[in-house]
Amino acid sequence: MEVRHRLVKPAVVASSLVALVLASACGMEGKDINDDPNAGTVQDQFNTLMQRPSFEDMTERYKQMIKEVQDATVNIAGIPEWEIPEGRTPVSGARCGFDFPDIGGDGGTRQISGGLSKGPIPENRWPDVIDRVTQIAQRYGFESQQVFHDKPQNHQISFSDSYGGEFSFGTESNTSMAITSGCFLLEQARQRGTPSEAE
Amino acid sequence: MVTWGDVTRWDSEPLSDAVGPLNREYNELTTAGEDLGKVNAPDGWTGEAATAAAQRGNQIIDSLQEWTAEIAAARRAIAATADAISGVKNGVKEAEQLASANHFRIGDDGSVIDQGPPPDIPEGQKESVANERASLAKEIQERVRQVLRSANDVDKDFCTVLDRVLAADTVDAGAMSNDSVTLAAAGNAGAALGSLSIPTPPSGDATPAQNAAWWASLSKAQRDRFTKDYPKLVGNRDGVSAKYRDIANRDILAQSKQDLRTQLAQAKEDNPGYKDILGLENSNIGELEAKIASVEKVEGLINDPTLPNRHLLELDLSKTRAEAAVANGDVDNADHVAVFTPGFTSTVDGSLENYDQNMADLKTKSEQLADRAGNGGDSFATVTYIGYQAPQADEGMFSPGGSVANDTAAKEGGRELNSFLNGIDASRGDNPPHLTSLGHSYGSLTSSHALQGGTGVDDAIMFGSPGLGTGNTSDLNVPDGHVMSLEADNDPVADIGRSGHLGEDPSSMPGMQHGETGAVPAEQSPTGRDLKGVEGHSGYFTPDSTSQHNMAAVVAGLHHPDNPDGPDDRVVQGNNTDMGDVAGQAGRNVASDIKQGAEAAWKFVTGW
Repeated sequence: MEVRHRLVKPAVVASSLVALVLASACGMEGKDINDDPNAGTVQDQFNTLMQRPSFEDMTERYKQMIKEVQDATVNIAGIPEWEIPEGRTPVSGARCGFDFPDIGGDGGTRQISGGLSKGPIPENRWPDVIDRVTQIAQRYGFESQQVFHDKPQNHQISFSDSYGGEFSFGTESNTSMAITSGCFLLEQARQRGTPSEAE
Repeated sequence: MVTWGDVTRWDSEPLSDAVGPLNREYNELTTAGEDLGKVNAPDGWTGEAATAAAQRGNQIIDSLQEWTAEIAAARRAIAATADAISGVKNGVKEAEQLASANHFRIGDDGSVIDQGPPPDIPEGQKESVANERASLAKEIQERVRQVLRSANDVDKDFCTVLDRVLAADTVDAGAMSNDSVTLAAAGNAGAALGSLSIPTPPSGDATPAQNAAWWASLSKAQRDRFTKDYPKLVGNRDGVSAKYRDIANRDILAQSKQDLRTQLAQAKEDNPGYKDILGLENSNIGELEAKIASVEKVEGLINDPTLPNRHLLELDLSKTRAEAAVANGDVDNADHVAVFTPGFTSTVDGSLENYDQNMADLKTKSEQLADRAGNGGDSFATVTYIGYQAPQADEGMFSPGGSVANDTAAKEGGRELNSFLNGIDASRGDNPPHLTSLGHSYGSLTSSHALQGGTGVDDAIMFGSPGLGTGNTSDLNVPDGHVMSLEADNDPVADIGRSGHLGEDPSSMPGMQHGETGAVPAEQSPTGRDLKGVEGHSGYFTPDSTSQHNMAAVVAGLHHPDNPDGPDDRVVQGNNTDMGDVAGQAGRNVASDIKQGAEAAWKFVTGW
């Protein structure tokens, strides 16, 4: 008898109500966190990505671009050679997510670190450096640019490409650059021509 | 018994130097003894003299066999002991560095002597410093104990071999055939005797400090061998280095997939009508299928060549749902390590991939902020931790053990996360990383319980939190000013925090720092770029958002609450309260009144 009473004690009822509220509030957690609600079906996402170059090709292009910027900045500004800090992965990756949430292992994004050149770019060399960097970036598809900081010893500029990638370049205490790419299909998925994970 | 004073004087070099001469001796002997059997009994020689010669020959062969076996046993034991001593010495070094860095000393008898805390500790922090020192003393003592355990193990094994060698009792040479003998056979038998055991790990419920101390006392060869032979004793052992946990767990993963498939096939065979009339699967079969899906997701993630540097730090398939923790980066050496614990409905098969991507983005942002701020060269690792049974939106939602509405799962998960976090610190000896704990939603409650148990976490971020199971940030044992709450506008879960059902709302908790989550224009942004605002419960990781920026700044160690306007602080402070909080607080007040009324009525009706 006592047990039955306890089952319906007000505190338990309150807990159940909270459970219901929490469930309705965060039922999407873990599955679709941050996903673009307008991403479309898997097939839609796949079709969009089929119009883009492959993940492997873009990785090579971005790496080549980083190398060109490294060489150019050392030549023009006389800054120390670029280095990848110990423990950093120069080319890392992640799944697509966000605007391509259902692509899974068929595609990926790249995070390419240009590393560091210890110390800032001399102020009188900045205009020449950024001209050259802009030329290189545009040649690799980073057409639009946005300047975030532009004052002595603090210049930050970012370039975007049509795939949602971003190339950021700046000099403050150190000079650094990195590319965060948009989403691309792996060559293997492109060859297959259909998504492997229909959800 | 070997003492601490003894092991500090141990030197493996003379042993290593002895291996070369023993090798030469062994090779000469085995070469000379190749045809001993034929020399012993030349064809066609018979008679008394031949018999006497054969007897004498057999005696010589027996003694040569024993001699060869002795050299082989000693050679192997000496090499293994030299190797094991390098492990013991490493354990000594780590313990002494930990002691010295914290102003302790280890006596020759193994006692840990506290040489006193720094003199300039503010009055208000004296108690917490004393507690921390007591915990440190315990950890150092444990390291001493484990090193001595390993040292005594090595000593005992080596002495056993040497005793047999000195007693000329390495092999039973008389029982070995002398007809076509080669001394190499005796050598192999001796070498088998000369192998040393590896010190066994502490018991299953050992603390991360105990595990780290044991691991530190093993040589590289012993670690390699132990991991290969006993992956299940290494994979989830908090305190062991991430590198070896990954090796062990990958091994287990491959085996588990096959085992689960076999179990699933068997379960389906045992339950031919395993789908009910609604098409729902038998729950056991459903669990097995989810575990196989989890294993496949983990496999896909850590073996994908496009996703380098992923490490499987935890894998547990023994519970209802699979548990796993995947790192991105080198947890053994990174300057900054961030561990993210998600919440309600998180599963390995359903959530790991997305969260890994969120963590990869966060890692990149943290690196960029560090580079620009002058911490260039700092390295980062992130961990997606689904290492507990997060509540699910299923029938368990209304059970006491699995409901999102109570803290049972958070407390249980908190114990596991506490061990995991302490394991990261312990495995790093006297070089712990700047460690950040991130908890989202119900995962913030889990993180809070982990932190309340005491960890080496330097910064904590709670976002979208329904409550932390406590009323004060000081209970979290994180340095003052280093617990941050992020609450987006219109996040109903965070607003529920006002109900006080799962502890005090972080947005109004004393000692809590508040990071902005709304849009920040370029001119007010530390990065000089517009930062996006986020809304709702699930947008906190949105790329280029204020929320993500604040997390990256904290992970990169760019949060200095003692000087928030200084150039090294890149956090955007915020408010964290909105209409939802106001409504939540009003609801709490009303609920409190209703509860009191209901309980009074209940008491009136039932008498209890």
